[in-house]
This record gives sequence, C-alpha cells and structure tokens, in this order.
Amino acid sequence: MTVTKLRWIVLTISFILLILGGWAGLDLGGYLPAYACPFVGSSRGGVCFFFRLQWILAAGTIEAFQALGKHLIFFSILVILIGRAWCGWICPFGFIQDLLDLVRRKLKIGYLRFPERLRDGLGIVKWVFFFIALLIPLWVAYPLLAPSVAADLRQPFCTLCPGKYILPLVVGDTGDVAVDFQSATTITMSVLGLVFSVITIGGAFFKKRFWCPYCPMGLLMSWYKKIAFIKLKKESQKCTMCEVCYNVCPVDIEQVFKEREREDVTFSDCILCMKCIEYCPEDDALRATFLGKSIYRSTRKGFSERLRTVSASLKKRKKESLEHGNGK
Amino acid sequence: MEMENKAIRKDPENTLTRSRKRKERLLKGLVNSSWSVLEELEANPGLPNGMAYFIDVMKEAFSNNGAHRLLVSPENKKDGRRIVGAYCIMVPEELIYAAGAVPVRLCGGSYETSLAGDELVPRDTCPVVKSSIGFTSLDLISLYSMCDAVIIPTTCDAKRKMGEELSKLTEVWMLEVPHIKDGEGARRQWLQQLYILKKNLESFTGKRFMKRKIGRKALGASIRMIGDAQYQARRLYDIRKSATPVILGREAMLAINAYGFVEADRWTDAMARLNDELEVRVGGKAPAARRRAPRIMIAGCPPIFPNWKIPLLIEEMGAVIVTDESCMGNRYLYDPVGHTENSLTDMMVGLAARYIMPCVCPSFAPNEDRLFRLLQMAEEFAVDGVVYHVLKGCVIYDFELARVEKIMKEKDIPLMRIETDYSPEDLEQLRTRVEAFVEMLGTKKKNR
Amino acid sequence: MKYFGGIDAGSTYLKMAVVNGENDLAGYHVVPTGIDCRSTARNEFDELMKRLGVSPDDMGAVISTGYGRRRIDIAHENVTEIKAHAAGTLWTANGEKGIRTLIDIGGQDSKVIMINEWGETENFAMNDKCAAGTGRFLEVLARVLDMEVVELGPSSLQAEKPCRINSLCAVFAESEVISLLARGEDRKNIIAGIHASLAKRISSMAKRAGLTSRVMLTGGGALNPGLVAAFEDELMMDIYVARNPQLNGAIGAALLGKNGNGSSG
Repeated sequence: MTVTKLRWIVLTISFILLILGGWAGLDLGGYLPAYACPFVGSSRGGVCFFFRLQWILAAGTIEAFQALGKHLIFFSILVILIGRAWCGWICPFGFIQDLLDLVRRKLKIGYLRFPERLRDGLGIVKWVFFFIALLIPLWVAYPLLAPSVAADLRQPFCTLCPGKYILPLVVGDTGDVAVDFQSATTITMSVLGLVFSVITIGGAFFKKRFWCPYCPMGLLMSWYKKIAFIKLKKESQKCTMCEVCYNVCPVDIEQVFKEREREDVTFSDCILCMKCIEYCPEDDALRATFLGKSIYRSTRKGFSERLRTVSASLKKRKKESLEHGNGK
Repeated sequence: MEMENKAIRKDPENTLTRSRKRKERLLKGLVNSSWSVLEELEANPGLPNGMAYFIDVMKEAFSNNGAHRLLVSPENKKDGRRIVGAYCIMVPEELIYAAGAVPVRLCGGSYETSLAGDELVPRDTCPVVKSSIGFTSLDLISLYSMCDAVIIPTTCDAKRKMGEELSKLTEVWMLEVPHIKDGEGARRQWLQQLYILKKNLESFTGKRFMKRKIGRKALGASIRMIGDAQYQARRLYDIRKSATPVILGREAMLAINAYGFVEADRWTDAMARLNDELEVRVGGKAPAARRRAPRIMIAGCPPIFPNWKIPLLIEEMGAVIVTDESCMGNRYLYDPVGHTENSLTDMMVGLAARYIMPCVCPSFAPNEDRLFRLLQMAEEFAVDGVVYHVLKGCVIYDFELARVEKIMKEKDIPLMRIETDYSPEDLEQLRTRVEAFVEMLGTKKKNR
Repeated sequence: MKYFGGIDAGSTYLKMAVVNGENDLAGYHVVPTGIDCRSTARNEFDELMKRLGVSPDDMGAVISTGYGRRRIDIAHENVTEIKAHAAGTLWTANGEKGIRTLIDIGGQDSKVIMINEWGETENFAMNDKCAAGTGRFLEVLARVLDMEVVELGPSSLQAEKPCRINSLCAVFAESEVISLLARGEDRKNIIAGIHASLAKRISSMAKRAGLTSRVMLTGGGALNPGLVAAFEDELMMDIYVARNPQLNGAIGAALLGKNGNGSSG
C-alpha cells in the first residue's frame, strides 16, 4: 500500500464521518481543526473550530470566553497530536479539492502553478481572513461603531468560506448557495463567498489544493509546528536537490529541496501529505517522524515502483537474464 | 629548391593527398590507442563476462569505426531514423527517443583528434572540446559523421564557443542552460528551452509537411526506457559499494561510458546481465581487487574513452576505483525523472527538473550541491582517497578544487589533484605521483 | 653485522647510502647519474661496498627509489621517492624537535611531504611538470648569469635590494633576468630575486598542502644558503637544514629495507 492510497482511505473515511456521521449520532465536538462545516446540517459529525471561535467571540460574555479557553485547549491538543496532517489527511474540504485534482489527472490535463511573486502576494490573504474571523466578532460583541453593520456580520469568515457553500451540496442541501438579501452587508458578504466558492472549484481543478494556502485555520495550526508530534525531516547530505518534492507538493513548498542546513523541514504551509517522501528518489533523504521516531522514509526503490518510471517488463527481464546466465 | 616547394604547396591534388594521409595517420593512432586500452582491460583475468558487450561496443565505435552499425540496425534503416548527437548530460535524451530519433553521446576523449582540434581553437581550451572539434572537422569516424544534428547545451565557456565553431561544420542546436538554476525564472526559461527543442525535434523527424508530434504516450515510454537503464545503473552503483570490490572501476566506468553509443534498451539488457553476474560475486571468494586495496573516488573532469589514462594508472598501482563523480560516469544515469501524472505538462516539468536541478556540473554557480554529493559518496563507498582529475583548461572544475579539498580534509580523506590532458607524455611523472598516493593511502589504511 | 642499502636514482645525481643494524649511516656515495643509471648504480654500489668492507653476505635488502628506481636491477625492491623521503626525514632531522614537514628541492622536481610521528606520509604535494620550482630553475639562470650553481647562495646573501622576478616560467624568467642584466642591475640582487621567486613558488605549494609544523629542507637546493634564507623569509620561520641533505631519500630507502616495509601497501 502506498501512502497516497492510505491517505485516500483516511480522507474518505474522515469525510464520511465528518459530513455524514451525524446521521449515525456521531459528535466529535466543536473544536475540530478541519472544515467539519456546521452548515451541512444535522448530518455533520463535528464542528469546525473557526465556527465556534467566531461564535464565542461574538457572544462576548465572560462565560463565552471561559468556554473559548476550553475549546482552545482541546483544539491545541488535537493540533499538537498530528500537526497539519489534519489538513492533508482529514479535512473534508481538502478531500473535495483532491477529488477535483483526481478528475484532472484522469483526464490527463496538466496543472497550473502560480509564479512565486503571485504566491508571495497571495500570502497575505490568510492573514486577512484570520483577522476577519478574530476582530469582526469582537466588533459584533461590542458594536461601538456602526452597530447595524456589525449585526449583519455574524460568522464573518464562514460567510466568506467556500466550504459553507460547497460542503452542504454533498448532502443535497442547496439552501446555502444563495445571496443573502437581508442588507447591503449580507449581500456583499454572501456574494463574495459565492465568488470565492466558484473560484475555488475552478481553481482546485487546475491547481492542487487551491484553497489551502488561504485557510486562516491552517495559519493558526502552523504556529504549532515546532511542538507538533509529526514532523517532516530532511538529511541534507543525501538530498540531490532534484526538485521532485516541489513538483509533487500540493501547496508549492520550495524550501524542502532548497534547505541545506536545518533538519526540520516542516514549513508553515505543509499539510503533511507526505507525497514528497513518497516520491523522493534518494534513500532516507526525507522522512516523517512522530515524537522523533521515524514513521516513514524515502527510498529509491519505492520511487521507481511508485512512479513506474521503470517499465513493468523489468522483473521479467531480470528473471530471463538470470536463467540465461545460469544456462551458460 | 624553394621554387619546387612552392610548386608542391600549390598543387591541389598534393594537398588533398596530404590531408588524406594525415587523416589516415590520425585514424590509425585513434584505433591503436583505443585498442590498447581495451586490450589492457581484457587482460584482467577477473574481467566479468558481462563486460564483453561493453568492450565490444567500444571496439566497434572506436577501433572498427562502426558506430553507425551499433545504432542503425537493418530495421532502423528501414524506418530512416535520425541520429542526434548530444554534448553534455544536460540533453534530455527522452525527447530524442520520443521523437523517433536516436541519441548518441559525443564529447571527445581522443588524443589524436585533440591534436587536430588544437589548430582550430585557443591553446588553453580543454582537450574535450579540442577533441570534439577535431573529430567533427576531420570527419574521422562514423560516430560523429552519422549525426544528423548535434545538441550543445551552453554549459561552460568552451562548450558554448564550441557550438559556434561546430555550426560551421554541422547542424547545431544550442540549448541554453541557466547557470544559476534555483531561481524560478531560470527554471521556467529552461522548461521553455525544452519545449523549443521538442518542437525542433518534431519537425526534424517528421515527414514533409507533417510534424511528428511528441505525445505523452511516446514521451512516457521513452522516460520508462531510460528509467530502466537508470535502474540498472543504480544497481551497479549499489553493487560497487560492497566492502570487497567485485568489479574494477576502469571496467565499471567503461560500461557506463558505453551507454552513449548504443540504444538505451540494449544497454539495459547488457547491464542487467552484468549486474546479475556481479551480484553473485558479492560476498564470493574472487574479489576484483585486493581486500586491503585503497578505495579511490575519482572526482572532477570526466575520463572519456579512449582517454583511460587515469583509471588505468590508479588501478595499475594497486588501488581500486570504487566510484567516480563525473558526467560520463555515475552522474550520467543517476538522477531519475520524477513525474507523478500522465500529462505531457507534468512529464516536461519532470524532465526539465531532472536535467538541471540535481546536476552538479561546476558550470552551475552556486554549486554547493556538489560538495554534499561528494561527501555522501565518500561515505557510501567508504572512500580512502580522492583523485581530483583536472583536464588542462577546465577552469570550472579546478575552481571547485579548494572547496572539495576543504570538505575532504574535514573528513580526513586525502585528496590528490592531477592536472593532465590527453597526451601520454606525462605518464611517468603521473605514475610516480599516483603510486606515492596509493602507497600513502595503503599505510594509512593499515594503521587504522 | 647486517647492512642495508638505499639507492636514490635522481635525475642529476645518484645517491647511495648504507645503514647498519643500529640505524647508523655506515657509508654513502654521491655520483652523477650519467646516461645509464643501471650500470652506474651497479658499479658504484660495488665500489662503495668494497670501500666499506662489506661482503655481499652481510648485505640485507637494497631498496631503490627516485625516477630511475625501476631500472636499478641490484635493488630487491623499489619505492616511490615520497615514501623514501618520508622514511628518512626523522633520521635526517637528527632529533630536531617538531619537524614534520620536508621540502625537497631536487634537480627535476620539488616536493613537500608531511609526515606523522612514525615517519609515514600524511600528505604530499609535488611539482613535476615545470622547471620553475625545481633545481633546474637555478641551473638555467646560473648559466645566464655566467656562474656556477654553488656560487649562487653566498652571493645572494650579500644582496642589498633583491629584484622581483615575476615570471612563473623558467624560460620567461630567463629573459626577465637578461633584461634585468641589460638594465645594469646588480647580479647579487638578481640572484636574491631568483631565490625569492623559487621559495615563493614552493612555499605556496607547501601552504596549500597544509603546512603546520617546522620544516626541514633537503635535496640539492638545501646546499644553497641563499635559498634557505629565502625560504625562511617566505615561510617566516627557522628552517632546519640537514647535514647531508642530498642523502635523505637514499637513507630513507635503506631504513625501509632494514625495517622490512619496502613493499608498497
């Protein structure tokens, strides 16, 4: 079994549990570091941490802040446990994006990659989302300025998040795919959200994990990378800088092959999908560790088998030549 | 008397005869020198049976002047397959195969043709370029004359200018290689170059008014074909790590060298047989060299057949070359193409990456990767000493000597620089030096 | 008592040394190599044995070294000059403290050898391609100056303002010296410049090879006090000059024979 296959299995199971688990009475809580979107309705198996975060901040009461502390602790424990593997292995919205990518692959269409400058420029987007999710709810709680606008801004990030519009479609709920005509504010927000959704669907078809670099929860989770149990590690001397890890990386991380000093190469955007390890052609150049113990290593043999850059006839040929050699 | 001389000089027929005679003389020299190298290789009683194929390839290409026979088998001739010469390892041979043509590796290693090239290029040019130009201008052997076009990547200054000179003599396609490779712009430009090359190849190998498109199936197949060859090359690489050497370096290096002159799948078959034979030898009772023989790594300029001066000398003195870091040796087939999707885009991206990113040719700067690579190899092969081969005129390899010397010193691995060219005249001085180096490594090894 | 012989067949001189079982130098002989080093070695070695009164039965291993080492048929084995010189260094240094580096200036090449405490080669560098940096350089230029090589040293010590010789090539250095002479430059200053140039060239080779310890100078060049002074200036240290600098290789070879480690590897 390859890691890619394992990841597909885990992603699919997580998707079913988080989006449909509610029907079986599953409730994994309100602090999940994944897009377990509450807008899916009763079938959801848990709730996204950012939904709760905004809700609590908007409530603005002492009790709410106490609850926030509790949620933050649960959230932190979950993130520390497996780091951003939540994104690569569990997030239902990641699953949707990977599905679109799979369709593209099957159609044998090439993929898109943003130029470095554009990528850098877009790096600010997740910060904008992050502050929207953090500050606007506080404004809602204490509407010192323009209270009518603030009132229409509950769950501001959720209104913008494409997950809110796309994930409910899975259970046939099309109710969210609409402009909210309550006020100018809600119209603006929901139109923006719908635009983001359309862009994300199109984008995820041509660009691997299109949305992930803009996810504010990913940003928050990346701050745990130093203490998270799962890490991506590199042995510089064994690396040939062949760039394969960059070409397979769904979130365009260049530093992994360029790094020459540090051993820890878990960069902020890394979703720990471990594709780089899977496709690294050098023995032990890259590996994943859990609490310092290696759990997965790169091998040349694995590379050849997985990429099928070696033809299937190879084993046959080897056998034949052996017989030939013995015959002599 | 003087009048007479003048008359002779002016006689065109006489000039023709003379140049023909000169050509014959040089050809004879080339045949003899390549023959004597191969004879010396064959004289080894422990020569693996699997080496016979590679030695025959070299004999055919250089001693029998029959490189065309190696490639143009009867069925190929019917197809009218084009032959494309490649200078440097940065030419993506996958594209050539995918276009239905066959690549051969040029880059001259002959003393005789380097003499001929001497007259056409500046004195301080490296012998590789001198020899290559000599081969082409003299039209000496079919290996060079059978090429319908040659591809020259702009790696070092000498190669770049050689492209310009050769374009007077043959069809030349330059391939612009970025020298600072890790920038995004450089990589994109290089990918663009490969697309241009692809287009060139398509119209070159296609019929009139009809291009022969390189599709993803053809490209995928040729990537797999070369992937097979690389798989076998890597097997040999791993076999050579064994504590008791099972093949001499001069033989292993020749086998890799031969890849340039035959079609990849045939080479793969032969290499698979050699590897099977060697794998049986690992742990066996017939080592290729003495168990205590100092293990040497050749780094620096590539030994190119028939210039087998340094490999022969080192092993004659009782050491064994366990590995080499050069573009005609291990580096040739080490790095694979990594593409995870079956789209043409992804294959081209993978191809572009494979040919420059892991390549540690000193024409790149910065080229720190090479130091990592050398350290890694020194470790993997338990190297006792490094022979740093500098071909006179190759500034870039010589430039990196100081850095390599430093890292090897830190690992307490002695390094000896040998500066030479293809001429046999300095053989005796080199012998003393190599012998002393091997002696020193032997003493160190004993003390350890 | 057993005796052991070492024959250093250099390009200019053939050096022979015989040591006894107590590591003492029993005798030595230095003759021009001549055209046929094989017969020279055979005749002269016999001569030496006779002079020392050593019978062939008392003779242990004879080891040859130097460029002509393979042609010396009276030797039982041959070793490279690097190994022989390294083996002789500690003996020749005669108890001088801290000598781990040898600079040997021969007629046709020069070498820098770093040794360990047992007299084994740690690292070495050789200049064998170019006349500049060898004894030949001095010979060529001595001829231009119309002097004997042995006169160069004492004369250069009297120089007041040494000239600069820039050419790295012996042939060009020759024309440089001729033009200096034509300008009326003092011969002593020119010679000092020549010595400085030679010392500089070899020192840079030594520094590159990793010079760390005290240096001993051997070979024909060590007989030249002007050159020794130039080396001291260039390397900024006191240089130890061996008593019989030319014999180092031959003594080393003889010692290798005595210790039974002549065979390489």
